[in-house]
Amino acid sequence: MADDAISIYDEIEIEDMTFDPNLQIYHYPCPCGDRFEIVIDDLRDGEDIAVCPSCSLMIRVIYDLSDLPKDTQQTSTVPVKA
Amino acid sequence: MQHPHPTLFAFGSNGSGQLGLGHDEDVSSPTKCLFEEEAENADTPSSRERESDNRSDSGGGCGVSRIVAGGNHTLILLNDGRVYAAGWNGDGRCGARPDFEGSVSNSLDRFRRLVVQDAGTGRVEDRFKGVSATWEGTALVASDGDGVFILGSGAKGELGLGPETVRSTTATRIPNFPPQGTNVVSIVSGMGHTVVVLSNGAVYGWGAARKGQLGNAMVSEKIVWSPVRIEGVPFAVSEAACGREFTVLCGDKDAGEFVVFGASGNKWNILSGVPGSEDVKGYLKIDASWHGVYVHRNDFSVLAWGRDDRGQLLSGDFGRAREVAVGSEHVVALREDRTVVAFGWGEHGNCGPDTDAQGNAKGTGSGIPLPEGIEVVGAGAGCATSWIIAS
Repeated sequence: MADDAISIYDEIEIEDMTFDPNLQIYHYPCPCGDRFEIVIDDLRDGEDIAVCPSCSLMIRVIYDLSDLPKDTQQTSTVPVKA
Repeated sequence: MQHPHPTLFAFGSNGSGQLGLGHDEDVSSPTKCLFEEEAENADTPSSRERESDNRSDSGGGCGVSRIVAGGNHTLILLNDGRVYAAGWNGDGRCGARPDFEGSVSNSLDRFRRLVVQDAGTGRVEDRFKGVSATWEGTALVASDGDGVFILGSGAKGELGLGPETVRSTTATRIPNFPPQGTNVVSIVSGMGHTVVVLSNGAVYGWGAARKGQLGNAMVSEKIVWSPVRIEGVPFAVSEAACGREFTVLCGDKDAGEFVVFGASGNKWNILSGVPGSEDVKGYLKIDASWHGVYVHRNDFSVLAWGRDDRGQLLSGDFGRAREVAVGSEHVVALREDRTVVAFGWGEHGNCGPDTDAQGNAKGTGSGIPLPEGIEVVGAGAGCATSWIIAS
């Protein structure tokens, strides 16, 4: 319901997020203690809202498609080591 | 028994047991925290000696000096230097157990005494001068201020242990720190960076640097993996506070001296909201939420600026506060009449049971129902977590 009422907690540049190569997600801390998550394929599809599984907050990810690791890349070339 | 524990009550987010209640369910009313019994043989002879000194100090050793919180763990520093930890411990951020062998799925749902062994000297440290928590890490200042021990995880330099060190499951001393001839006076952490005040008035920091939180000179480094001096501070620093992406450095409080570093882009008016020093002359303390700054003034009023979309700034008719505890997006305040009120984002029950449909405690805040027969002497706040300290 009330999709138009969605309020975005914050806008976070992808550089400040952490990429988990095993889960293929980007994540960032949520003030509730859990974390905002978005799968990389969603970002590739242009979906930019990362959600927290434990609360109602969500963030908008600021990124360029060219920031994302290529689909076929090995984990050794992702930007951040897990 | 021989180590009296403080009397604490907690409420809020508790998915990893970080409230220390013996379970991992959220609660919205203050609930008594539990402490593990300590093994008699856990102390070294020298520490036992100090213990007895403290015991003769008629209960004063039980006072809580500080409560700090990461995303899913909590650390309590007592006035006598003991530290207790609860919450997620899969990486040892709450202290390695004697039987710890790198196993995961290990969380503490009640508070346990944190004791570390210096791998270099073999010395056991069971009293600390300071403690701080990043999102997934713990920093402990040795009791004599001559070193900082690190536990836990941090993918972006939060540990300060050098390039690419992202995990420390047993306590590791930061090498060559503090610089010779100085001592650590205090340590504070935000979500992603840590700042240390030294005895000579200099400040050092490590972790996230991209927003200027470690000074303008470090912005281009983006991540600082080992302690660096924060340059450009116009005074000798006495205390510090960390927001999510900014740092408040305090100078001479009587003169109202302080400066804010970071928050590039001035999000939430963190920079433009800074008052003149004449408005905060003689301030008691400055704290920071993720997006707000709170000055506790010497008339016990609170001057705050920053994010207020969920009532975080105590803007209503608040009155005076004995204690102000600042969390990620909420504040818990002990008023002059010893009632407790919470402000801000309370979706997890961390502002008590009485919040609006969005989980917020706006306006005059939310009065916290107190357990009968207790006298509240302090408060603590973390990531949607709240504590009340009773005498």
